[in-house]
Amino acid sequence: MDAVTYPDDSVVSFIDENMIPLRVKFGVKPLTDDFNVKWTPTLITLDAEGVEHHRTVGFFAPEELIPSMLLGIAKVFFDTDRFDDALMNLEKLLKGYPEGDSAPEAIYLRGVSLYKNTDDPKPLKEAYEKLRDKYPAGEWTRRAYPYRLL
Amino acid sequence: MIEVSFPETEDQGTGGMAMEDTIKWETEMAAALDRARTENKNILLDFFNPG
Repeated sequence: MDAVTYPDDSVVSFIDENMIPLRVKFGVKPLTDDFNVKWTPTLITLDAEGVEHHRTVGFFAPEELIPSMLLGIAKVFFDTDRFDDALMNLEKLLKGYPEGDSAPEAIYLRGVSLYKNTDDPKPLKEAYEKLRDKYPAGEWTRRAYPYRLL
Repeated sequence: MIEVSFPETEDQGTGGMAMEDTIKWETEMAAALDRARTENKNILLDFFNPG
């Protein structure tokens, strides 16, 4: 991460504009234990009260880290019932990084957020169909499988 | 509401340079939480191994 991703201009700018970056050496207590971290790099999105909403383990290239952070921001909103704000960030992710590794989960979460906002189950089925068409063997396609019946 | 901004992709008065050239990491949770509340942002917490 230090050699490739964190020096990247787009990553530096995104973090500067959108996140408070906090770096903790693995093993430092109590945070390593508090967050039950076992491997590095572990990246966690916290809200302003310190509550965890998104976690990844392992290396991210610049073009994958930014959408992962967008997903983390969207999850903060989703977890706090702010579905319009979650949707705004998911749309940014899907528009800016449609082929990224975070996109399938974003498609799933967008469908759920739309459903939560409207009580209309149609977006759930549409999310499944989009996932099925683009990622036929994908994890999030399987998770959305029941929505085919809606 | 937290407004997400994308990095500049064109020169917008910064002379073509990023506004920051390195990530300014906080190293203490309390300081990060204070900034998160003040700046209305979320925290990216990176557990790293300096090798």
